[in-house]
This record gives sequence, structure tokens and C-alpha cells, in this order.
Amino acid sequence: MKPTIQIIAFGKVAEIIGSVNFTMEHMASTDALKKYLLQLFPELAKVKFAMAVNKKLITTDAPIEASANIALLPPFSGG
Amino acid sequence: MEKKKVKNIFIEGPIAASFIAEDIAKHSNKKNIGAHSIFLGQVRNDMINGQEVKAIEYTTYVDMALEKMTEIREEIFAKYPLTCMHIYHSLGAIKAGEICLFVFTSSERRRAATDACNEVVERIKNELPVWGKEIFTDNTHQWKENTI
Repeated sequence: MKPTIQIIAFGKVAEIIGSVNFTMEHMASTDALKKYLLQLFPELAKVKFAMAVNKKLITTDAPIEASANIALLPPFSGG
Repeated sequence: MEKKKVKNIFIEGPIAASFIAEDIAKHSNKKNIGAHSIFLGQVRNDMINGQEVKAIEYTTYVDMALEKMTEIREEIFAKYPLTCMHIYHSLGAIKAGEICLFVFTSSERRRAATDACNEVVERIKNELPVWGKEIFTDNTHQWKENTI
């Protein structure tokens, strides 16, 4: 079986993608994943979003292990 | 390292004034406390492009949010001599005028309670993966971004 990753999206990003949760083919890094998502959903270029790999917020390009959970996080607005 | 228990902070729906009152009352038997500080966040009916916000619908990435909150809690307890700290954040649709955030810190002397309370509120707004969807009176919406 080919390696996969789990994507979980929130807020405006989930709205653009039209899905909150999905599984996709493995991507080697967060930059590669972002590029792929922007190709698939050009509307994403209009929103800011950060990524978390296995619940850890990442600030620069980070490697992605097979089966990782990647969260797509638009700017926080709680409280 | 000892793993701290992860406490839930999220409650579905608005935070009732009676809930806050009961929480205050629970502290009357902790007689070493000399000061409480409370922050209440209330949903504001902002006017945006001529549209009035009637509610904010909150969602969260709960696993990440509770992990982050545990980390914030540990850092705050390490920094300030607090007796206790309680935090509640609403999820779901909260109407304008209703309470959506309740932060309650207690200490022997006032400075620790007030400083810790202020710092926790700022950290919740900046660091917790929570999103507010502003619902207008005509049922259109936009995603909120926190400002000072």
C-alpha cells in the first residue's frame, strides 16, 4: 500500500477545500504539500494559513513522515 | 518528566452568569486566597460593511488546543504564585451579548492574580487553535481575525 497522510482543515481553509478531513498521497515536506494544495485549490492563495504536523505548529519547511496528521490552520480568532 | 493531566476547557454554548457565580462561591473554603481576577469575553455586535454581527460560531482543533493550554497553564503556574486558575471557552454559536470566555485566577496577593489573568487571556487569543465565524443578521458570514 502506498503511504498516505491525513489532512484536517479548519475555518476558512476548510470552507475553500470543501472538506474538513481527508486522506491523500504522502508528501515529503510541508512546502511540497502547500504547493500541491495551492495547485488543487487556487483560492487558498487568498488566505493565510499555517500548518501543524502531528499537532506541532511548524514555522519553516518541515519533513512529513508517512501517516502523519497535518492540520491546516488559518489565523486564530478565539477568546 | 511527569506528564500533567490535560484538562478540558471547552464547553458547548455560552457561559452562564450563574456558572460564573457558582465558580466564585466554590473558592470561599480556600481561605489563603486574598485576590481573584476574572476576565469575561463577550461577543460584540460589530458592524462590518453595514452588516451587524449577531453571533460568533467557535470551532477548535481540540487535541492541539488542549495540549497548548496545558503548556500555557504550566508556564503560568511556574511564573506566578497562583493558588488556582480556571479557564472556560465556548464552542458553537454564541450570540452577541453572551459570554464566550471565562478566565479566573486566584492568589494570596492581588498582583499575581491580575498579571496572570491578563497574560493568559493574551496567550489564549494568540496561541490557541480556535476560530470564530462571525454570523451577520442576514446569515452571511466572515471568519474573524483577532485584533487588540
